[in-house]
Amino acid sequence: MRSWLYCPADSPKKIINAGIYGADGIVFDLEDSVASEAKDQARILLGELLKTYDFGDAHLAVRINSMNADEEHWREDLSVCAEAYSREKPLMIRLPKVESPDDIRLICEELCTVEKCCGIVSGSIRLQCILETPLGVENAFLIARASKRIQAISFGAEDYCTIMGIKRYGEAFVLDYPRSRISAAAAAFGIEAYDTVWGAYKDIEGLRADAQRGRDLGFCGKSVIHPDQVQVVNEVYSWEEKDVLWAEKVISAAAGKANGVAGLDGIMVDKPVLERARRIIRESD
Amino acid sequence: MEASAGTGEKMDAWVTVYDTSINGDPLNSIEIEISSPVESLFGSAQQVTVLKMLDMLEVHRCLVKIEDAHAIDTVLAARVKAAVLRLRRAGGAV
Repeated sequence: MRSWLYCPADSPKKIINAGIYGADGIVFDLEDSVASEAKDQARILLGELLKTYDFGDAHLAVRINSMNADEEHWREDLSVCAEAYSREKPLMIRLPKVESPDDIRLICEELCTVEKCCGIVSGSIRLQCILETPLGVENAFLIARASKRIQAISFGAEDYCTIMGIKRYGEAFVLDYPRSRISAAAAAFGIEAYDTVWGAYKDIEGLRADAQRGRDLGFCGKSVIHPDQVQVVNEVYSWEEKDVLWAEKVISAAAGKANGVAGLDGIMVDKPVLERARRIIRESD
Repeated sequence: MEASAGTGEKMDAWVTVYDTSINGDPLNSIEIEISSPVESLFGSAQQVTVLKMLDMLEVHRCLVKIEDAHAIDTVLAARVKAAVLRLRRAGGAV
């Protein structure tokens, strides 16, 4: 999935319109974009709309409140998600500020309970973990393998930069280490990696450069905070026509070669290159 | 005693539910007052939506005031539910 559009869970207008911007996924946010005193009504609103409203082909996730917060909103958030879950339209949980496999164990225990209460097959509700602290980034590999429920790990740069004392919208390279570590951890365990949001929503060229940096470092998609960001991120995370043509040529060149090694435009085509080409064809479909 | 939910944003509604059993009001039924730009077209449907939600929550006596800003029925129902639950949390007997 190339783009995940964040949508505040207490805004009917934004929720209802969230499916029209072409994002591959929508993340309904119960955490930072909802004031503490409005969390109860946001939960109810989201629960009702998830049960009745059609969001088209977009994949759906809910960012619940952090398990590390003072108030235990996250348990009520999970109950609402489980009540709205359906096999036809699975709902994922995006879990903020994950720092260790212990966090995953705790939420998996709670998920088992709510799944049972709602008659959902155990293990159905999948997780996207946001790593947004130095400890979370350091434990990326442990987190990525902590549960079969984990569909993706995602980078959250705002908190990371605050803790590290890094200028968020300065030089792009300062985030290369956490990005690389997270994308490598995801690839190591066959799950997806989504890059952090670009908060300067009026700076579209900055967004394009930031998205490209993430893609170059191995992410397969990016979260966005504004509808205007969706198209740019979809473009950056789509294969270009020239890539697809190259992949087709590689597959043709490799066809019929008994030892699996061929040449194309003076470059060796062996097994990993062929696999890369197949992946491009697969992802561009 | 009263509790509200919602916002004044477009496609939302501001819903206030009053516990009519505490303030001495003789009202012993459900009364709904809706102020909506689409009242002439959808006023009856909105009443039904509110009544259905109140019935689901087993509320049989209250006053509901709604300032609608083009909320769809699901949103309206959700705001009524939130207001009722808030009122109950505050000790209201609805």
